[in-house]
Amino acid sequence: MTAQETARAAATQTTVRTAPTRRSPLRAGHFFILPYVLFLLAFGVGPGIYAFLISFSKMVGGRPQLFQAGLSNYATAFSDFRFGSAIEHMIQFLLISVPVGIVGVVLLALLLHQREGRFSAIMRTIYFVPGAVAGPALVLIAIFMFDPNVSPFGGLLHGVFGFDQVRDLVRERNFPLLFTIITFFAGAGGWIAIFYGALNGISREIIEAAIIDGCDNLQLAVRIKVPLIRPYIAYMLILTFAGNVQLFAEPQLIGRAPGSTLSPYWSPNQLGYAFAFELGNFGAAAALSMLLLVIGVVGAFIIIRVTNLFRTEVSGE
Amino acid sequence: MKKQFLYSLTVFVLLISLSVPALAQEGTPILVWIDTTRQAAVDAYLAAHPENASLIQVEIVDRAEFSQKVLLFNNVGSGWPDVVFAEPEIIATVAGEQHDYPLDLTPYVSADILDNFADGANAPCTTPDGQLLCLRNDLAQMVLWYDAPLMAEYGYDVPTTWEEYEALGNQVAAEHPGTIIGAFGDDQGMHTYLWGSRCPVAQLVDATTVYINTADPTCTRAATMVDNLLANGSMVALSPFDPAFVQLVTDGKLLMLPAASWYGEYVFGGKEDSLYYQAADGRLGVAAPLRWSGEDTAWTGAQGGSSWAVSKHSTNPTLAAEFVVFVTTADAYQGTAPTLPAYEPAATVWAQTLASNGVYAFDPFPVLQSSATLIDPLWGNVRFSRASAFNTVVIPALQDGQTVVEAMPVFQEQLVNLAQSIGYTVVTSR
Amino acid sequence: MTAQTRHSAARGNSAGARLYRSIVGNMSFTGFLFWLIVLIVFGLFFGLPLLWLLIAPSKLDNELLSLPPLAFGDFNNYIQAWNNLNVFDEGALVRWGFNSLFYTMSSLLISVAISVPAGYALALSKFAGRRVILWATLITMILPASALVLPLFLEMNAFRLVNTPWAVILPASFFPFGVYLSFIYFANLIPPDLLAAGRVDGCTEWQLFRYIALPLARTLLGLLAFLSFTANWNNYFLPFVMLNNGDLFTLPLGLKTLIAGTSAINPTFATDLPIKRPEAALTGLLMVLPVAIVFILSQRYVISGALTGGIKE
Repeated sequence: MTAQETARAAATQTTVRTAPTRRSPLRAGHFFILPYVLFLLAFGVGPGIYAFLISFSKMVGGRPQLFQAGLSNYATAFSDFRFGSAIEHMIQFLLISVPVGIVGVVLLALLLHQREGRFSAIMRTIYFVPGAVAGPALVLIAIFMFDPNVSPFGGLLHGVFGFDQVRDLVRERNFPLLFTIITFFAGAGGWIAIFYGALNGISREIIEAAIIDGCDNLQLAVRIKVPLIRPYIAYMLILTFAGNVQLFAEPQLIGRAPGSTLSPYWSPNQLGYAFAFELGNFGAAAALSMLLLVIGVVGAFIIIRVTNLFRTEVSGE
Repeated sequence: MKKQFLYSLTVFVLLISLSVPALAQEGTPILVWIDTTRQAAVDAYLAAHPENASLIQVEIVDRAEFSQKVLLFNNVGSGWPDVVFAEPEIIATVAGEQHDYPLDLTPYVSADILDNFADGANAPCTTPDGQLLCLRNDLAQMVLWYDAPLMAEYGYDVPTTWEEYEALGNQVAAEHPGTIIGAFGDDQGMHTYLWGSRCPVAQLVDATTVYINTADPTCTRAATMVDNLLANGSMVALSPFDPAFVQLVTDGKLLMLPAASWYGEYVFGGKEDSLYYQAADGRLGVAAPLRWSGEDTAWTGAQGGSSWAVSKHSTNPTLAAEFVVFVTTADAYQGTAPTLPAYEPAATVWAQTLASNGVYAFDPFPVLQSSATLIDPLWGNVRFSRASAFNTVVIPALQDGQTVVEAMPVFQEQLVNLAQSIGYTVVTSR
Repeated sequence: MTAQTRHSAARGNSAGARLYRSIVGNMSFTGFLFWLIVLIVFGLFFGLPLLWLLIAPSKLDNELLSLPPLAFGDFNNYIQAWNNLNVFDEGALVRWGFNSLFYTMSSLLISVAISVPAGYALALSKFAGRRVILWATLITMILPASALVLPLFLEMNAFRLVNTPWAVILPASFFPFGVYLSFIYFANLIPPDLLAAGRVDGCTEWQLFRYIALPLARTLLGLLAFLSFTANWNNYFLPFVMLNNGDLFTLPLGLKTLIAGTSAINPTFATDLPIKRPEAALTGLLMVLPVAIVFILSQRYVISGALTGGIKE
């Protein structure tokens, strides 16, 4: 049996249906999940529903008067002169950031896993630590890294890309790419750590069997490892897609840098923030959030369906 | 008997109930929200009024998020700070219908005190219907900074009108190419050249109406001048804080720069870690803002300058207003404040802090004092950001190769859209 | 390519061949080059900005522009920058650091304690509402956080928790991301055969979880612990909304507030306080170092969780 078949067998080995046991796991399942469900209701579903209600509310003195606005908040949000360009920016950003994110993280995780050792451990740490940089320090880093005159990457920016001044690089048409770089810098490390952990969970026997059968590292990666961590990839795909739909912190921070030409309403979430806190219109902000939610959920739905993420052998689905 | 008793009881209760709020007012602590730099203001107040020490609570906050906090507090009915330190722009935002935060200070500030503020200083704090929503802390008017030794070396006279300024730009372009006399790379350019020309980027007509007309001759004359100077290289399309601009200064290319009054201490500096001049060698000169010839007044713009406001929900407005009046007028604080006080008597005391800085070629205070009253009040305090419209529309247009004049129409469009989205009615002619 | 040809380059027992093998291992030469170059390039991508951040406080504000980016300034400037950050309020940084640690560890303990059993149940039990919970969890993760500001604030206010540590700890203990990760982990790692066998043997559900599933989940625990730690350590939004009292601030919130009114990020905020860009860089280091330490310490724990998949036939 080839290594590939071994792997598939191992994966599918667990799909043998067992007869229901005498003691149904039903009650126990509820017990394990109860504390989480309480939190889910209190901090997830409850506020979410309230936000949904706010989207139909009129604001008086900054307080939502439920259900008095009908659909006018949605009209306000979607007809705003900044809405169209914000959506456009979001799409441009998604088209770049999601593929780059997935491919980059999977590639690095595979490479790191290919060979254990100190080098791998050091690299893993270096990839992960930037995720801890936030706030003013992240703005500072972005300001300096993107300025060819003061950046450690200056040679690269000048020589290879021909950027002489910061304003050559930091300009409207480059923002989707710049934000991809920043979000990858800050976010890739966490995912790499997760994938690395997932790869570590692959049975040694499968890998060894594959090597004995003659798989080189590339085949091992593509035919064995990636399929076995597919649920994690799907998970990352969903969250990266949804998270990038909500892009807020990075443009908000960079926009505060001196000389920044970034609009404070660049991303849809920023526009929502402005509705809420400049205009005091929580209703329009909630309406916009609902739209972003729908987009994210549709994307998640598609990915889940395609990858059957929710199917486990126990559920029999 | 009973009737009399009841009558006196009623009067007694009424008197008590009327005086209780007054008692409560005297004793209720106030919450003051400041930034780190203003801790000195609170310290100065407590030094002067130690009897109120238990009544002053202080929190350090990031005032950029203040409007968010106000809305959250509106929703729970409590939590507003009694006093806040924030720019008049922020105060204008939280004066909006949904926020409704600032208290009208007119009953709490005597006419004498108001008169002693520099003319026009409190204009951004005053609503069209006469409410005084804040008191100015400091002023940041544009003045003309210049490199005195370099001016002497090149043999130029300091210009007094914009026409002379432009002529000087033409001259240096011909005689000393590479020399810089101005910057136009971010909203500092708008505040200097457009506001200084009284260009109606957005002028507050009344509480709900804004006049926006970037095609006005006052705008065109400034834009044309800037275009000319950008073209001949005596003005650069850089922010004064861009490292490339700082490099020009280090290379000795900066001849003059119309910029805010606080540039002297904090940008030119004269200290080891200052951005422009690292030595206190008497290099920095300053001159009055420029005026357009044919006009009497050298109106000028500003960039910065903050204020103090009191909450409408304050349970002790007397103390809060007293605190605000103190920190804006007292020599004990403003005399040693970081930037030019808006209150003229305190400013005179503040002048002494400049004496110790050897970066100045001569005492800059007379110029600072006289120019403080020249900030054009017509712009008024609108609830949207002119600067963000400028930075997101005009600067990219310049980067794409357009001239300032060519960028004015898109600037107009963006301003009108922003104003309308906030709820203003826009007029484009007057 | 057979195993034999693959190892032909490193055949032999000469010192050179041994050295070659110890470096290149079982990769082909081009494979090794690719592996090395990609990892190093990304190492520079992630590492150079960190190096810059590490060096920045050693320079004066104008030296950040005048000196080469990675040039080291003066070691004394670190001390000066630290003093500058503290000039305003002596104990504030320590207080904030302690708060951050307390809130983060509390949320970490609660969230891991809740998420691991929840994910286990979702993966390996069949019960009514399982799908609903999975979808609800996903949807709350996709919901924009900015929409939740007002509802969460009102909720915490209703329980009189605003401006207390619990207003930060409790919402932060809601860790749907962890539940999902736990779900995927258990679903792919632990075959129900194992549990079925346990049940046949008479184990209770709790015993199955405690003695079979949990020991196999050390990798997951390690992952969840430091993901939770990092996310909560950095969280600015929740503490900002919930806390008004500076003594309760976390490190990111406190540092941002400290820097906000100064010219460090926005040069138009003139201040006579000695807080400029080097100090802002130092705040970044203060935030990063604990996370780096936690990561390095938990590396071992994570790696040692290399599992066999649980099936011992």
